[in-house]
Amino acid sequence: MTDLGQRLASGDEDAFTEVVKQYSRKVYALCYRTLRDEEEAKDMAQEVFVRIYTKRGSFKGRSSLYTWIYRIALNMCFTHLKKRRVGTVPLEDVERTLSAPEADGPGGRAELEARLAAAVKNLSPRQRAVFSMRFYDRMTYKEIAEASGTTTGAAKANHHFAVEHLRKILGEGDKK
Amino acid sequence: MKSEGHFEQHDLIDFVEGEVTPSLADEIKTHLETCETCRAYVESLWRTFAALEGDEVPEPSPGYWDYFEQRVRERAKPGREPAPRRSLVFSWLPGVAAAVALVILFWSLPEPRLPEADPVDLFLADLSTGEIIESLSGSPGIGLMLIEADTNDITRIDDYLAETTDIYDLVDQLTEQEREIFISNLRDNMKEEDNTSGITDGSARKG
Ligand SMILES: [Zn+2]
Repeated sequence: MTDLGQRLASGDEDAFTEVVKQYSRKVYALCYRTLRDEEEAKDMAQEVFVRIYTKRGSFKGRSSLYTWIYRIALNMCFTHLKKRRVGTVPLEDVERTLSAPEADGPGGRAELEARLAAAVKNLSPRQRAVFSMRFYDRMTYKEIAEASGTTTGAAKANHHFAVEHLRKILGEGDKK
Repeated sequence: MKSEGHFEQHDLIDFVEGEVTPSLADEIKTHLETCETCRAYVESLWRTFAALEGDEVPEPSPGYWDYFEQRVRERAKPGREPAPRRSLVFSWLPGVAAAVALVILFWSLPEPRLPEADPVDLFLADLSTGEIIESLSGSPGIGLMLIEADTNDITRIDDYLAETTDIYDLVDQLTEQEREIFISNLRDNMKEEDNTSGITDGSARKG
């Protein structure tokens, strides 16, 4: 168990402050990339730290503090999405978004952003989360498996599925 | 590994991510020099990753971070904590919102509080039939697994999270009768599972 994790688990208030400093932005980013909604991600990041604070005594160091925190964040995001019952966007919506004209024309920033948003939203929340941990946080499949509650094989499969899906939408965009 | 003379997409993704062994990397590089198809695939992966680098997370207003910890501590004050652990979760575990999700977890250890690093027996099962989909024996100390029928996503929920009200919300959606049927089916299937004893590492899910 890391020092920080140990101190957190023992109820050290400064350790919690340190955890907030080290992980709040990462957790917010992960929530955003999973939920794809800024307001929800802000609320969720806050609730995740409330949960970390109230459950800190249960951190046993079975996994790293980092993956423990991520797991709490992901479970809360997934539970939230189940309640919201919005996971993915129907493919027709993606196609509609992709074919919709953008203000700054084809190839413009707005078009790229719309394309990205549509492509990413079409993944399942778990695929989004796994992809985010892999691509943006550079986590290993073992860490991703720990954080997202699957096996390394499933984590890799989810990631590759996400990559292939995103490639189909984003990777061939400028080819005719 | 090659299929019909080309590398599999999985290998090419690993290659682009720098996840292959040096010898496989060399093999792929050599192949890309002469194979238009694989080269086009790798190039489209590069374009995809380049585009995704530009997918930024919106930055909240500065005030959000200034008072972040303060708000968290305020909300975490005693009296706002979730209800204490109830025992029902730990002899069996239901999940589920009817039509969509299904599964369950189950473990064979009597104690809910698992000793650190002790493996538990986990089974993924279909909630409606109790049929075991997969045995995950030997997984590290984890409690509950849910599988979404529509997406095939697997969720694992650590035992400390199983005590939260969110999980109980799911549990409470099962009627008493549904629980009985489920547990009974699950137990029957577990007996069969014992007999055939097909233990997997869980990495090769049936899809
Ligand atoms: Zn080829």
